[in-house]
Amino acid sequence: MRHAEAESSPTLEAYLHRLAAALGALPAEERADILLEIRSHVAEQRHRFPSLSVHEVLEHLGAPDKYAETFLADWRAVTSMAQRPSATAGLATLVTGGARALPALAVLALLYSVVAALLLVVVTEWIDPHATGLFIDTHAEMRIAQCD
Amino acid sequence: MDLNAWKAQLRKRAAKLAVLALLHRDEMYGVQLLERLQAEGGLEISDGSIYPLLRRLQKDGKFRGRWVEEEEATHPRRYYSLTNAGRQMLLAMRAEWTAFEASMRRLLREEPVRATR
Repeated sequence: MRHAEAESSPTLEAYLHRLAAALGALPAEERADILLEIRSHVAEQRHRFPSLSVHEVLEHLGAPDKYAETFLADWRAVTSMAQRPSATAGLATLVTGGARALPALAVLALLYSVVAALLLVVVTEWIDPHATGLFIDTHAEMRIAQCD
Repeated sequence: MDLNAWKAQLRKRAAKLAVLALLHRDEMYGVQLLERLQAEGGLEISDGSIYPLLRRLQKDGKFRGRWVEEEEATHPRRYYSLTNAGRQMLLAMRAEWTAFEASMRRLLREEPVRATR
């Protein structure tokens, strides 16, 4: 952010420091914007009400940890709605997602058919061991007999 | 029942629509919005509520914000305005509010069925 410090006082700096720490979970840019906006707010309110101290203006915003929690709760609410689809929503996106989802769907289909084929081999091997191999050949025994 | 707590809740719940309506008229910054809500009488919200609300609606794509350095100000101000999505949301919420308000007014105007003595 290119703006110089708009308002500076030890009280304000201490408040912003604690707020920044409590907002640690937010992306850096969002956090910086919030801090700058609070700085701007304090300057603005002090300009409107010269008798108000920095401390009093900050008191109206609330304790830094508690205030940060409001931003975090809102951020989580918006983020979870917009960017964190559930497993079913993800699958729906995959199915309806069109061209972008096609390669992923093809790989999934391939994996499923390989698993299905292996299961088939395992089951038939168990039911009829003589007639089953990785390559199914029901005439193998006959040919072995002819060789003898 | 704590009437003041209820009043604060009412204002807080209505703040989103009030801010949308104000930004529909003009681009504004946080303190300006606080001032205007107060000037409207009975619509004021706490200093602490406005910025989380503004950031949330911006993240949600309803508002856009920009930093402006003005001659008369010693500090940059963040001005907010409505996006198209914000305008659509305002229209939808306004319709809901109008219907709600009309029903409530009808209900409150009704004469008591039987006077209790």
